[in-house]
Amino acid sequence: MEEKYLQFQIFNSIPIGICIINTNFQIIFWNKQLEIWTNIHSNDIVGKNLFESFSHLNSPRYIIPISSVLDGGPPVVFSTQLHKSFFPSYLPNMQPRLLHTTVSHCTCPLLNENFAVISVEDYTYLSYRIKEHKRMRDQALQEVERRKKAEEDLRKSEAQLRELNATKDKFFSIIAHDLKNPIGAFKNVLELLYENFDEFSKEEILEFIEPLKESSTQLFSLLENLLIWARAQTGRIQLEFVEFNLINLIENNVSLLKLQAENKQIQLLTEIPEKLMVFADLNSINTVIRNLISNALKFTYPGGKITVSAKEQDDFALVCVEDTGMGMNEETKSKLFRIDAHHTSLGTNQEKGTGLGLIICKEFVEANGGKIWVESEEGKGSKFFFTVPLAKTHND
Amino acid sequence: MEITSEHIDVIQEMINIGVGQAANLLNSLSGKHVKLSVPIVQIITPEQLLDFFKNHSVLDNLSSVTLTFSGPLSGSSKLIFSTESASKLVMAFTDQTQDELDFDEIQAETLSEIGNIVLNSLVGSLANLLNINLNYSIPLYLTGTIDQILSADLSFKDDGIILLARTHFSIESLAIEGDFILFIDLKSVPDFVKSLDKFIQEGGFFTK
Repeated sequence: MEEKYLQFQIFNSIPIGICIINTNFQIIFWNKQLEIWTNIHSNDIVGKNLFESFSHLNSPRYIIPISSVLDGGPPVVFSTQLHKSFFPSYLPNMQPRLLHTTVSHCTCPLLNENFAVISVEDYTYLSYRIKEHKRMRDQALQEVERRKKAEEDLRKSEAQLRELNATKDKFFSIIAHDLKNPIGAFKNVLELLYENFDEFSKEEILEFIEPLKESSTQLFSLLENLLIWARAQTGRIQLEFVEFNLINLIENNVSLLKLQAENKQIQLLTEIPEKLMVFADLNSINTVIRNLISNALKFTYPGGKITVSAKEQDDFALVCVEDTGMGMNEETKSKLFRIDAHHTSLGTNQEKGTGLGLIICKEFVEANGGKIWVESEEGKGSKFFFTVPLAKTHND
Repeated sequence: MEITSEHIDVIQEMINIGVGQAANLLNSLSGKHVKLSVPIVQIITPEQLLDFFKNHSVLDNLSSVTLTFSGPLSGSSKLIFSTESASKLVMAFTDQTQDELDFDEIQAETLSEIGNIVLNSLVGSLANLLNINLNYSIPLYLTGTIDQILSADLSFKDDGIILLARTHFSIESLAIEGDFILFIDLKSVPDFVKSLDKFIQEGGFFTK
């Protein structure tokens, strides 16, 4: 190194790489940090031409900006993402170092010379730390996601268990009360008749049997619902989706229940179009219609009226069973379709129920892709609505 | 001594020449067709500068590159982007995808280079055409609010002259906007005006 340049040795004690070139692109100083990073000793490089020593820099992309700096122009930055390292340098594991380089102008008044100072900063560890930080952040995010999912699964599983438990409770409650009591009454009446048969007149026997007949009809209906529900719970009901005319189904149910309505002096009317093709499982929708009309019959006073209507609404058929019966308050409404909220009411003729019918209705309507809801006012009657998806092609 | 509309026309023209140089350099750096434009240069007060950023930019999240200069003309030049625009710009140059791009020091370093090229060309063009030699500091990268960015710049004072121009980068189908600010220290204004007058008297761009 020329003696006049010894003043640059101050740059040997700083932790960034410094290379100084003169206006002939000749390297006049190469600091210790660069010796360490490049394994090139100062004695082997000082005095040599920059572009001859580092041939990858011998391109207009580097020559033009470096020349501009030597002419007194603004400093130039060479970032690690857009350039190869100015001076090749490797880590012990042979990975290249990421060196950020700035070339700036320097005038030395004492020497009356212009220089370009090439300062090099090592971004390798910074880059490594950023990558490591991102990797850890991504891992943490994945872990958070995993935990969220696990919590969600746990919540779902807990809800399922709660529902299963409620189902089991409902099942035992029906067996304990709704089946045991009427069968117990059957047993008592039959025992009384059996033991004292000769003591009763025909008329008296008929008096004993008549309530049994009514009760057995209700019991049969309950058993039927219980079986359907039990099969639905164990997943043994396979829904078979077909296109059918919903109006036929409504008319069939109305004519089947007409006699029961007349017996209770209730008008059972329909407001329906001729045809309303739906795409659903026929048997389950049949159960829903029968249950809703039976329910309306149970809660309507003699002299009242039940109207079954149906119409198209958007992509669904909307069915409404409206009665002029006893209606419900908000609390009763909120318990209607819930398996976990035990609710039964006596009918207008003290008909017993289990609340199972509406739960079945909800399960079936939803399994068919529809919705079920109720509008009701205590003392004024109720309107039960449900929707069934329309058939795509047959309602034109 | 005031900067007149004629001076602004000259500055605008000088900056346009610098813009051409910057676009060429960015083209060769990225290997892509980069279009760069600085449509209108205007002189504004510091309050107007703050209002401009309040109205046009995301105030809390700005990335800037600053090049400070001294000598016959002293002040600083800045290129300011919203961090989102800065990310897009770096993405266009480095072929990264949006998912990978998470603005960090390495990307900031790349933005420093891109900003430095633009600032060097714009300020360099001014210095060359006015035939003045400037001393430049190392480019400084900063993020923060406009207040933080301005207060971190020691050369930026309330009583200087601020020239503001919005820059448009078009890189293939991507359109990115940043703001170029040239701040001239009040003490330098008379010399700056003299240099501009001299340039005009000597025949302006016709003799260059």
